Amino acid sequence: MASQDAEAEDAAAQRNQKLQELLAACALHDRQAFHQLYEMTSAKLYGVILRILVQGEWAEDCLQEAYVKVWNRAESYRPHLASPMTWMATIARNQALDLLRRRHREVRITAADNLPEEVDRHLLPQDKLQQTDEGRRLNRCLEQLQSAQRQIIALAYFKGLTHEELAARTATPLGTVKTWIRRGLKQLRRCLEA
Amino acid sequence: MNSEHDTSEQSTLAGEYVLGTLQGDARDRFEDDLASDDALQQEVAAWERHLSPMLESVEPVAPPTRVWKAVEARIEARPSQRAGLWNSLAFWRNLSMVAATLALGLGLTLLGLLQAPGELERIMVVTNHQSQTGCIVDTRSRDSMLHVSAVQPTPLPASKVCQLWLVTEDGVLLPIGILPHQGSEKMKLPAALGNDSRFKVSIESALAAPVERPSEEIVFEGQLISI
Repeated sequence: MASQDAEAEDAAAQRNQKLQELLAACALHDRQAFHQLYEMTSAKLYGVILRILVQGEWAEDCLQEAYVKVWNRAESYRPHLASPMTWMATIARNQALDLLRRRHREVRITAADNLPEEVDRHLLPQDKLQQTDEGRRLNRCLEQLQSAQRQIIALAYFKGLTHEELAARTATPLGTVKTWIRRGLKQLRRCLEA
Repeated sequence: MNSEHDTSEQSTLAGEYVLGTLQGDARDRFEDDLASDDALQQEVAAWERHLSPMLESVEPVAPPTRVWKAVEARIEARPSQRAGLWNSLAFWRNLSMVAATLALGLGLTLLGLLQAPGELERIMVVTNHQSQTGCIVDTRSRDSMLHVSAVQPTPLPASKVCQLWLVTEDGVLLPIGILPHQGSEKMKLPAALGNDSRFKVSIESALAAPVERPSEEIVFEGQLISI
């Protein structure tokens, strides 16, 4: 088991290295490298966008925009600030959240997201969060929050909801939502950096 | 005490920004500050990193092939090279990163260099596209050559090479040689070194190099420092 973990970590480190090289080549306008980067990462980024937008058609436009940004910004990627995957997934998420803000939030709600008890299972699948060191740490720290706090943070992260919308969605007073988020973030930060 | 409180306040604000709950005027104000505040940029990057496992936990979904076609069409429409890229020294150079890599890559290479014959006199770190140590240029007491050792050179298309130049006092660029992609090379100096001689690196076509005058823009400049 331990050697399997070590192998998985090796593979992840190699993949990371490869993605860094591809991004570097993209910064030098190497289209072939960009295609390879797309092949290696687009399913993940599409998954991220679909989680936020739900609707396929807009998600395709959004994925397209996200990759055009990756290409245009490859030169500003800083390996000491984020892994290539984190950097690209963040671009995809921001692209999707921007679209939500522009389209007046018509596309946000799915039936599963509407039920608080589904939020944990749907937005924060434990088994998936347990796959990397960072994921395990985040999961452990999220577990230390109250479940309502955790759900509000996950809803905000994936759905770009405002304080007011979070309050309405979870039938919680606005002041409580604001306090939960601030306290939740402070608690998370302490736990993540402990 | 006060500044500690401010720091934690800034961190929480950065957290709300990344989470998405900082909106409207407050978000605009935050973005204004962010543009010029390194510490705040680091906070935002830290939160993005901390929260990103939520994104990585998402199930991958293969997108339809038409998306790649659309992306490809849009990047094809751009000019193949933007002049700004080569001029952007920040892209090649980030001194804090150089300091960090000094401990690693450079340390190992120095170990090798120190065992090499001839005492090291002066040294210059040429950073790569990711602001890490790309190669090391040094002079030694034993000879009057430049010693150039590759560490992690910038990956270039096969058709391109990096050429090293000596800048004279009148600002004229004298060709020295092509930076090696691996191993070390000795290069003859085209003129005597001054106390603060400067060097530049340009990207050249592999077919034509070494050239007599730089044909493309300069991607690095720096000078030797005494050690």
